[in-house]
Amino acid sequence: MALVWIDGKEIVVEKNETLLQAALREGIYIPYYCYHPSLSIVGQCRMCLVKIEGMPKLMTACNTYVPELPKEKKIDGKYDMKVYTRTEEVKEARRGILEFLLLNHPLDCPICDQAGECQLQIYSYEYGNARSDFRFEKLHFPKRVELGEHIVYDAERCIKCTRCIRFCNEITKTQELTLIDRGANTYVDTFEGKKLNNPYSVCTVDICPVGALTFKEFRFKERVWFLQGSNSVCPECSRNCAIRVDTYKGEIMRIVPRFNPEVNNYFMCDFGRLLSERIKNKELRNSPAIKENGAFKVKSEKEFYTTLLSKITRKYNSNEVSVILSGRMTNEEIEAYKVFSLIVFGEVVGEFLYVTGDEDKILIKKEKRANYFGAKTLKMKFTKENEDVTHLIKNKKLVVIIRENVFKGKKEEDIKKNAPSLETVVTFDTFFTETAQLSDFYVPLAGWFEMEGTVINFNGQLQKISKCITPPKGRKPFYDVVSTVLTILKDMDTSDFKSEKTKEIESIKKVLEEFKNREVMNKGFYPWFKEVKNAIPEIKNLSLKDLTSFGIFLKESGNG
Amino acid sequence: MTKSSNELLSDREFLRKIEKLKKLYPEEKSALLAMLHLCQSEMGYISLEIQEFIAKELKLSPAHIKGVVTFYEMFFDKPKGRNLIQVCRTLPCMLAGGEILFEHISTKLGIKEGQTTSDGKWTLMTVECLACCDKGPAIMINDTLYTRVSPREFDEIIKDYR
Repeated sequence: MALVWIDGKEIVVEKNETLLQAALREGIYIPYYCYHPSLSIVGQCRMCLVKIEGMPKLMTACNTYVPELPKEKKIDGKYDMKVYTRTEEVKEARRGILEFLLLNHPLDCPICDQAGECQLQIYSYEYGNARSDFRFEKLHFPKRVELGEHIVYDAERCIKCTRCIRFCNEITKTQELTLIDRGANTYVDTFEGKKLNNPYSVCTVDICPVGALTFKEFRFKERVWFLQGSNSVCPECSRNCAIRVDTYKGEIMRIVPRFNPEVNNYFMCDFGRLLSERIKNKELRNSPAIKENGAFKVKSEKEFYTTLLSKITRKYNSNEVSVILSGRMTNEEIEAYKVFSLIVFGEVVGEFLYVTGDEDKILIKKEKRANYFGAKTLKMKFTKENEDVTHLIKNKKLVVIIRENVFKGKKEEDIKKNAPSLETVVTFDTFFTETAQLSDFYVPLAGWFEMEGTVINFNGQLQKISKCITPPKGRKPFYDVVSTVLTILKDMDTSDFKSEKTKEIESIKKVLEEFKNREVMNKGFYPWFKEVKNAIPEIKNLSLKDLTSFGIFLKESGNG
Repeated sequence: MTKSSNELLSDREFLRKIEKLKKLYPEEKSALLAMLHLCQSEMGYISLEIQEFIAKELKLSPAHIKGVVTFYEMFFDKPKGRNLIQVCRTLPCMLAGGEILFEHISTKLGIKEGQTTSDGKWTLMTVECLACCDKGPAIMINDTLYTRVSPREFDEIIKDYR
């Protein structure tokens, strides 16, 4: 531990910490390009030059460690180092470095895709010169090189900070990239015939401080300053990478990782990121519909739920019913489902599909549903690993499916063969999937990026997702569906349920009675979040504020 | 000088040398430059196949080898002529007539900088400082240094090469 004086501030620097890291930690901003907290330190860009007392030249803060001086040698009797980051000399040096970096850089910012989030622009604004002394033809380099399936490289814009190269060497360890040639002619390239196609390749675009690496699916789609960012969580595996969803006029333009040291650090996998592309052009419906004579008829909410409830409520024995639930449901939706199930079936029935797939040692986890561990924490049942749906619907009369496309690639005959007795299929899902098309009742739900909710990851980290885009009125989160059902039931004549047993009607009334004075009757996320808090003792006193940015760690959830 | 990649990779003597180089250093990967020199002396250049071979031998990425090969001026990743002419283009040599000499060589051989004659005899390059600033203009043909070269002397010199 050493005591450092930086611009009049006293800072304690740890032994394994560099000057730059300590300064950033204490809120003293030193500009940098090549330094990245997750990568090794190379001192490549020279942007972080600072004046250190006693040193003949300026030093790069990013690779300067602070030694502890013997007592008699301490500066001013107590400091191990005295650093100036704002003197005229330092500013002049930064101006110089920026001028060098921009010598061969095409200054076509108006048509550059990075404009608005470019560190060259930001530092030029803060430290740069308004004009350049360079009077010659700029050097020309390869442009629009497809380094990988999703990555386009522009060598002219590149400042050779080597972040992307270090990312491939140190994080993914795939080592696709290298610097070619030297001096002013340097640029980044792959080996002949090899591409930058690792599962995390687009992270190189995130960490590229300039417009050299661009994401093929997003480049030139929208100016970044028009984007509206909302914090959410990636739904593609139980890692739950923290993400920011950038939208423009209600359309998701891109998904970028958001820093969360407890979950994903600075990165996310390409598969999760490309979700924004996969959800494009999927068929959506905006109101609940009933199949009549082979075709879906849109109904008003009240008519739909009255018909649905009188058809399924307490009509079947529990061994005739199969409810297939999904780890794509948020905690609030799961709690809401419990209430739904109590009313309709008299007990909490249903199994969560346990869907697994490949995992790796970086981020990708085995469980392919975001809230697998949330469902576990809320004590729900699961199917066997990757169990085929035919087992689940065998000899059932009623099948209710929430947020799963279980009949994917299946035909009506296949289903009839497995479950000849099947009378009713009810599907709740965001998209109008194959399963939805084969069902008798279809309720469109709000998608992952269209609702509020909380989820728990493999490690027990509870995070919040938010409404990045507003869905049409008819597409609701499942908890809002249940709130609607409760409201409709309240006004319904319970004799509609076609159940002669007065005992059961009494039991429905009891459930309703219990919920009558609870806030869940009003729609919205917050009352159901309260229900989740009641269900998990560990978060009984949690406030939504506690979930901002990183979420909180639950000891008793996750893999431990 | 003119072995193909496949010939080289099946050459037992060559493979033995590679093994020997690996053991020469405390860390295997330190043998990289020595290996590249060896391959270039055997083949005249370092082909992609050889780069991949070295990457495998030293457990480095092919991209890294490519980076090293392109970094050093003395390594070639494409075939060059039988003889390499390197003309110094640093200031003292240029003041001493290096520019005129280069123009002469270029016209005489009919090639520009970085090109190879169609008969594969000559490759012409410029280099930074051959460390003979007091005796310019300097050129180097293969491993032989020539100083205070006039255009006429150059015509004499190249008669010795085939």
